Amino acid sequence: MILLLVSLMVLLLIGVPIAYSLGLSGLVYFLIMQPGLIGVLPQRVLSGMDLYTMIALPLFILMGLVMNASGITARLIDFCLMLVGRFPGGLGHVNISTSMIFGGISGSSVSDTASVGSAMIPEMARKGYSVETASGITVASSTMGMIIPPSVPMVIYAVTAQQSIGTMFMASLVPGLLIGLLMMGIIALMAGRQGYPRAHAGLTPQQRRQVIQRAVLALLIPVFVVGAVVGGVATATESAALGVGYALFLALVVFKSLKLRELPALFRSAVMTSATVMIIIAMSQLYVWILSIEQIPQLLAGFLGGLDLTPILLLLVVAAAVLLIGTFIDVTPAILLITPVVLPVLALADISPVQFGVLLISGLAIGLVTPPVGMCLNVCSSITGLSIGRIFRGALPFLLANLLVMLLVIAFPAITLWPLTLFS
Amino acid sequence: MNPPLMAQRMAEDTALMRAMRRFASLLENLIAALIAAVFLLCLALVILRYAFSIGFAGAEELMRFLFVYSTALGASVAILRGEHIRISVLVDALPKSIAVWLNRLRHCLVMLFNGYLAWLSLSWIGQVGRFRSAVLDVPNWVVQISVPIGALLVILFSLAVLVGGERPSAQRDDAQEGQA
Repeated sequence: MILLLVSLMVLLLIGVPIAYSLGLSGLVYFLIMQPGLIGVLPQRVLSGMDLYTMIALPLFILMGLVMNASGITARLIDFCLMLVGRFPGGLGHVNISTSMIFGGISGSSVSDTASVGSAMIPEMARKGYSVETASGITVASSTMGMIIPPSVPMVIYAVTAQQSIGTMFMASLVPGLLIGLLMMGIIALMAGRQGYPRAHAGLTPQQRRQVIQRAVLALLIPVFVVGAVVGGVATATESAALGVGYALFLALVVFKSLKLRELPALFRSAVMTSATVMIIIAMSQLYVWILSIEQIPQLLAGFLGGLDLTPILLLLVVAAAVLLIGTFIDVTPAILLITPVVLPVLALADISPVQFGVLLISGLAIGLVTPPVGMCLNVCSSITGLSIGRIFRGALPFLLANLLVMLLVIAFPAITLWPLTLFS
Repeated sequence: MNPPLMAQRMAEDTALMRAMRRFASLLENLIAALIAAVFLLCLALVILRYAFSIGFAGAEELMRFLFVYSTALGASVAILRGEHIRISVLVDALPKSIAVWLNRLRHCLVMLFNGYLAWLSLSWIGQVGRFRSAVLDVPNWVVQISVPIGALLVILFSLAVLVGGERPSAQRDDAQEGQA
């Protein structure tokens, strides 16, 4: 096992793609430790690619890309301006609430940072916010993109942990919304001290109706997609296909903001993103297999069992590890590496895999906005020209909301589990 | 990418790299078509089920097969495009001369693994490829062969990058949205 971990670390550090780092270190392990089993390697790789549930992955990515390309950002910003712009620190609230809705539509934190950031940061800077704060709000609130359903990382976790995707979507809804509300609370506090202005939309009743009409069809997407899965109307894959169909209908027919000739590029982009994730999942099957051969989860469970930790302490230790790992490793490999090791240990302590899943994704979301590899920081830096260190400083006060929600998920499992009882 | 920049880059490319990029584009279009087929099939399934109470038993299996090919081929194209997810913090911090050698080593290791995977696949397919799938009743080798095909394409594109030289990838802005 030490051989596997050392070779994996070396390969990762010299920049070998994560998928092939997993494959190579697995190959080294089998060549030295289990040469008799090496013939099964291709079968394991194929079984990692041959997952019906994961077909939802490219479809959810495609849905986000189509909606993003259809120019919904401006519609959502207008809608949120009308709803929360009147409060002190109005544009900060608008930024956060737009991200809450955008998260439910695109399922991607990076595209949230790019779309909302490029529209909101210059406007916020004009209204007296420092670019550092405006950028910080943008990246911190974009973390909701991968927590509020439908969320691509949640699909990956659900498949890895063999949980229902609908269950994970429902469980992550309340924590995702809580993060947004807490961030809005932080803005309200800052607005008083920093003198951030209100942002009056100044709309007539007729204009309000227009704003609602322009946004409402896009707002239906998360309800439509998550509702179909949770309500048992369709599988996650089918619901993702329905989501793509609806998004295409809106973009091509209703909004008329997307041309047919632009579609192939979106399909190519979605499938290439999906392929780079799926090949990691395929190769991680070797790693999962080795963990099972070496009985690592059982050994870890024995070690942690000896420490006699309460479930809350155990989850705190796990959360700290997730935050640390998320700082250095991308979301998908982190899910694939952490889940098979930790889940059996938590099962012995009677901790729900649903609760852990929400904790894991919430923790890894913070990794997107922490240096050195925070992808949202890089995107925001390319928009504003600020260093990622300064953007991170701007985001820090708002990340308290994420940390607080993680603690709440640990202390009160009902936050994640209660919504499930409504649909049981 | 804007046309002048693209033209400048094309001019810098060797004939080999131009050919590889054309081939990669073809593959990319093919896998986009595969996913489009999966999407249409999936949509049709739901509509047929709810509107006409009609099911298609082999649809799930067919979608899985198409998806497997999209992954195997897509992962190979991602080598040429430099789109694979990797940790580059350390390599980026190293002096350029060392980073260049590490990148070469990286491609060699990827080729080594994929070569071994392709070789192992052949005996595996020889043993179990004749069995047939559960619903569509197609021989298993039809899907299994995606593993060595993908691995050999990875080697081909890694070689092209090694010979043709690596350049900043024409990465899409949203290339890694899937993970985040």
